[in-house]
Amino acid sequence: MKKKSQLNRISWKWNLLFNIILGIFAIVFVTPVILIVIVSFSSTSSINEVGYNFFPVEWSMEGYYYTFKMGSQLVYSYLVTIVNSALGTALGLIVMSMYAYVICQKRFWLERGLTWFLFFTMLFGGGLVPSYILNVRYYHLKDTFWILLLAGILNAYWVIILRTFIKTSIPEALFDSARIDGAGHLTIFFRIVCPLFKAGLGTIGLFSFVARWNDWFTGMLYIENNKLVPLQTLLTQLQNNVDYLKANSRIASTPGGMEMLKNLPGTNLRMACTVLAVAPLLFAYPFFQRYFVQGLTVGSIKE
Amino acid sequence: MKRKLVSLLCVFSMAAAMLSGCGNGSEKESSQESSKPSESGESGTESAESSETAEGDETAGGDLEYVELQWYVLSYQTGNITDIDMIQAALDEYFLEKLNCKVKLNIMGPGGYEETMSTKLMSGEEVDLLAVTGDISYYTYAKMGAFYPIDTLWDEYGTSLKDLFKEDVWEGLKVDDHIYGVPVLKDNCYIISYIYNDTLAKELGLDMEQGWSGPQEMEDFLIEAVAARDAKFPEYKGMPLMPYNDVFCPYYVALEQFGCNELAVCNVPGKEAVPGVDTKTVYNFFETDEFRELCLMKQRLVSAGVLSNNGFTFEGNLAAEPFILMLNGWGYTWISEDLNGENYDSKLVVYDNPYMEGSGYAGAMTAIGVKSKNPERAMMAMELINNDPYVATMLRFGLEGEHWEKDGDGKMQLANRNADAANPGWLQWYGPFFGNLTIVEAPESYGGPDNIMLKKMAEYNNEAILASHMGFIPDLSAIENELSACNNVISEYYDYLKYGYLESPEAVNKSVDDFVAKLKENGSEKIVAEIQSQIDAWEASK
Repeated sequence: MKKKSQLNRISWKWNLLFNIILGIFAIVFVTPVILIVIVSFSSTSSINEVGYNFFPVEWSMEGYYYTFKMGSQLVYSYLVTIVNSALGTALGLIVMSMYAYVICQKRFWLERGLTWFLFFTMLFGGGLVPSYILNVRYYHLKDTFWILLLAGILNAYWVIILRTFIKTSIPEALFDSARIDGAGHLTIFFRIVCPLFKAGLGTIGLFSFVARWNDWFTGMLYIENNKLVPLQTLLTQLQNNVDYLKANSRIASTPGGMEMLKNLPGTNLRMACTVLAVAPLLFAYPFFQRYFVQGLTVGSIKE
Repeated sequence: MKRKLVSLLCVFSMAAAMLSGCGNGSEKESSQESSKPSESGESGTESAESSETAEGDETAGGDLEYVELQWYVLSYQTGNITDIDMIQAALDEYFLEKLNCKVKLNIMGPGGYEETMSTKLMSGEEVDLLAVTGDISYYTYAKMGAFYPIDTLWDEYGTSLKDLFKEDVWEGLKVDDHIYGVPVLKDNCYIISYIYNDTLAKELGLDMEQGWSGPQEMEDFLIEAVAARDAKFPEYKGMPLMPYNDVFCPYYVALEQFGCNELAVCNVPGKEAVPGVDTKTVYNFFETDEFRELCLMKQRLVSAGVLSNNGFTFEGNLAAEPFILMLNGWGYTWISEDLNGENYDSKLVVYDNPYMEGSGYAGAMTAIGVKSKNPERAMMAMELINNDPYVATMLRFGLEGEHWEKDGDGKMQLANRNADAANPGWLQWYGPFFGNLTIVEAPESYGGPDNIMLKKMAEYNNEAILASHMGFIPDLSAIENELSACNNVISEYYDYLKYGYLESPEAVNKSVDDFVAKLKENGSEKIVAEIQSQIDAWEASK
């Protein structure tokens, strides 16, 4: 009978200890999320009585009721966010992976220049106003779905990750042999590179999806049409109005301020909105998890 | 070789696409330069003729070419705009008939308004009409050249706008000899009041109208009242007597401020916050005994349970709760008994002597963006918005038949899509940034019988005491560093002092001493001296 290799095994005591430590970390991270879900199902009177509590005095759907009263606005925001996240991620992966492939080609005479061009944008940015001028005045993207899609379609850091992934996981010899067999760049990219670096695509795809899902600033700055407001922008506006009133307490006693206070969403509504915003990501994440783990080790082993 | 050529072509097209934008800017800038007004406003007229295009297939005839205007307006009730499409359609119909234009409403909440609008203005976007608020400071942005000088337009396109306010108000709004916005005609003066819970007062046997001149005179009364309330209603113990822990100015003291918080202020005539100091002398309010006494008073009120302490939280509208006895008010001239809901009857007492300072007008205005392609039409639209009761009412309460109706007595009642005030289709009361409030026709529950609230508002505006330096605009550039340093000190100390969150009078006294000492270390005296010298020079030049 073959002896099992003892090389990578750890003792059951250390195993138990690591599991306990990681379990504690997991509880610390998951507990606030559970609390948010519970508060979203708590009534206003319960929150007044016991605050944020794992055991509310009274359960209620009123947070969700007020959320669904937003009606079509919420539906539109969800749709916009889902389409933007999915389509934007797909387009972004195509653009970024192609760029990464190109700058992997050492024989390409522009390889250095394009790499430097990419790296240069990571050093500093032009700022908010120049990008606004570019997007609005010259590209005419204001108040269109395109600004949500195209903003951030290429992230320099992610391109570098993909490039490193290609370089470390796909040997140069594979490209050479494909070329000898008569394959062009497009054939090599789609039939050799893409199948081999699914982990990288999955990792960057997850990053991109999460970033787009959570992006509220682009919508706040560029979108005026209610039907195009992304979900996070809608929720951030709700929260910003609350924060504004708290920071400008002198207007709380004015007619306008009082009307605003009467209509301010309660905590249970805001928690309900948070649950609705985060839930799709929570369900999507397990599907990307294995790619994420593989992607974490990109570049860890040098050949 | 072929591949290299194709690659080169791709790279050059990318570069060309990137650089192509540079050339267009100069053409646009030159057309915008031509639309910038000269002193006489003639070039503005020329640019209107040259830049107005005949876009849109919805011309309603008339002499004017069809244009589309963008109006960015701040609203405190962004949850009540479900029917915005309906209102927009009605506005389109109205403006097409009157001016052959469309005015697109872009409503934003206060949370993101400043950042969004400042980006639009700084980037030179073609904003037509916009709300000018305390955050989008009128004087700052006017000085930066972000607004169109409306005084070059009103003789021809907006004569009645000039008549909305007195000459000295317009003088006070001049920046570099031009006027850049139209204030909203509302409660422009500081109408300070208190609103009390008549139901609870009667149950406790309290006389709530004893001729007080300000909330600081009510300290002993309020401390006794909270004890009486808790004795009679033990279930209310631990709940505050007043829902909001208000700032000092303008509720407790009247100060003429100059953009430096309370670091450099003057007394208001007839309402001296610091007795014995004439109204032309600038002082640092934080150094005064009166400030110290207010901080101690707040600490006592919090300790006694009149005001909530730092850890107190409450979900929902605290002002509507039956254990609340009174709250400070600003801008109210009339209220309905159910202002704070059905738990109690509300009554209003306005303190004597409303007063006016520059920010009362500059805090809520409508301006035209300097890059607007149609400033003349924007001016004409602004005139209609500020003079036509139909538009003013529609913008606050919606459409007759859809959102409100007239009953048998001809009185306006919220109805149909506005029947549920908690979930209206369109309700923007009192819509401080939608233009002239005094011409609005309001339901009795909002404006009082025969619109008395708005009529009294106009009376108070006319009778208000004027601060001594209306029209003075401070130049803070020489004291920017000191202001920044002092504002950091204020962030560190002021919240706990003004809300009374410190644990004892001794702690308050020590904190005030440290606060004042640190302000002096960071240049507060230089701020006072600078503002005083500017005021002296301004007085001498009058």
